[in-house]
Amino acid sequence: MNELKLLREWDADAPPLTDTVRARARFRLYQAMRAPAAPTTVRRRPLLRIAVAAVAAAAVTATVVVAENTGTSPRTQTVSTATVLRGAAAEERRLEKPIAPRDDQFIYTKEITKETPVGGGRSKTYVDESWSSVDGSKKSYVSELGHTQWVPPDQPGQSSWPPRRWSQLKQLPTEPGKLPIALRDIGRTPDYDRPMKADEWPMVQLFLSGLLRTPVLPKGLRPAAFEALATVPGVKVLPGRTDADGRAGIGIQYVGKPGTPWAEGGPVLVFDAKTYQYLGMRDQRNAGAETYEQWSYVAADAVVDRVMQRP
Amino acid sequence: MTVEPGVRVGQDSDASVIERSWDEPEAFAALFDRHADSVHRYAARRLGAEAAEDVMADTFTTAFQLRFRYDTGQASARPWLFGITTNLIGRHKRAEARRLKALGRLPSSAPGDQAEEMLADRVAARVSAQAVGRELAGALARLPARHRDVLLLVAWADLGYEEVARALGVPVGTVRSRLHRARRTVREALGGSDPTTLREESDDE
Repeated sequence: MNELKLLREWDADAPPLTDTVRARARFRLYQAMRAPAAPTTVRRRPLLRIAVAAVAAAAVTATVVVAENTGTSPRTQTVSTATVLRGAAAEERRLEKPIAPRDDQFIYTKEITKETPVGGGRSKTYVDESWSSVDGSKKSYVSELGHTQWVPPDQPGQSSWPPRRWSQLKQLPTEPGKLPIALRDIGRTPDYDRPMKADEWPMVQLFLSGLLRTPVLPKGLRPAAFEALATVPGVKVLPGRTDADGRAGIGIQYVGKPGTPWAEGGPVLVFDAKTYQYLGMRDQRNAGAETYEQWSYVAADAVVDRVMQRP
Repeated sequence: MTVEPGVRVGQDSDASVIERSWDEPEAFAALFDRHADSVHRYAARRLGAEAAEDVMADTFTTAFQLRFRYDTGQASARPWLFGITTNLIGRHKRAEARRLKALGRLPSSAPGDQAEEMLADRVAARVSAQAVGRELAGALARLPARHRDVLLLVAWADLGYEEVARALGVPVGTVRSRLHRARRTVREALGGSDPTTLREESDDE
């Protein structure tokens, strides 16, 4: 008998490392690094949209004065992050349509991204159409900035953030007060009685922004995510933002503490200046020596039966 | 001492990565990407999923904070990282004892979705070890912590004797004697007989 060999073969019921746990641990390392505020970009993996992107420093205040053109004379109005994000949640609740995709179906999305080189040059617009397996059991077809690829089904024990499986998204609470706790404790049983610690917010913010990057969510989840975002320390209002068509908007951005990868701010969510309807996201991408300003939004989504089937 | 396959040398070595991180802290992330899986697996086998997550994350944040003390003469950082992991596991003594007790009670296949899912995935050759999991857990529970550390760094972290010595900061002779005693305890727990008809191998050094 070789007891050492037996021990080596005995896995002691150890679970494998999931993408969620990996992301959470890597995030803690980033926090520990307290790097100088250098832009840090993690390449996006298909459907794993924990983007750790830094955006050019912007004038940041907790409360801003927005000039509102009423037709005759400009009027000023003070808005807070809570006003904008609660307004966005209300607008989303009014507009969103419930969907109930079957496990064997696919979620189709069409995302438009306009990229402009910061150093000057022509803009380029990408139209990305993707088909994502509802229960994750089939191959998904994903397009990102024109690069298309087939993404194999999850292996047992593998998971990603945001969740690829609709059933996992359905499990997330749609109460804005509960959602941050559920995200903090993702992969375990949420302990709603334990208050959030200050150093847990950055991770929750990361998970929330990942969720908000997901083009299609179960009814009630996006409004909850907007309202939850309003409770995250470090979320700021940016005045005078516009969408790609020049429509007046208000930006919302998370800005981390000095020494974190978000010290210069994460992506900017842009909302209509009047209705607070969510319009799209401004972000930056680094590729080699070039930096691109991105504007992206979801132009269409639907539930379909097959990959390559359009609504 | 065994040298694990895939060990990197020169510019690409762990030592180079750590040295680079002295000036560029972000470079340290490469060490995480290389070793997160094996550190997590080791911690998960010893402590289960939840504590393993914390231990793995803390291993790398601690290592990052200690990076200036790394001996860059050592190309592979595995012994160093597993030494940190072992220290952190030492803070979970009660959790480990509870886990071993639970594993010692369970029949070879633990109930629960995850266990089932994983079982389906396992290769048949492993079934023999799983079948005596209860006895192995019982034996590990009886070992003094310092013997268990040595045994599991060899069996689960795949470190050689000298690497274990470096990880724990003890002489190689101590590693050998602790390992010898730990193996004897486990052998006796298994009844000293061969429940799986595995061939006897002589690898006592």
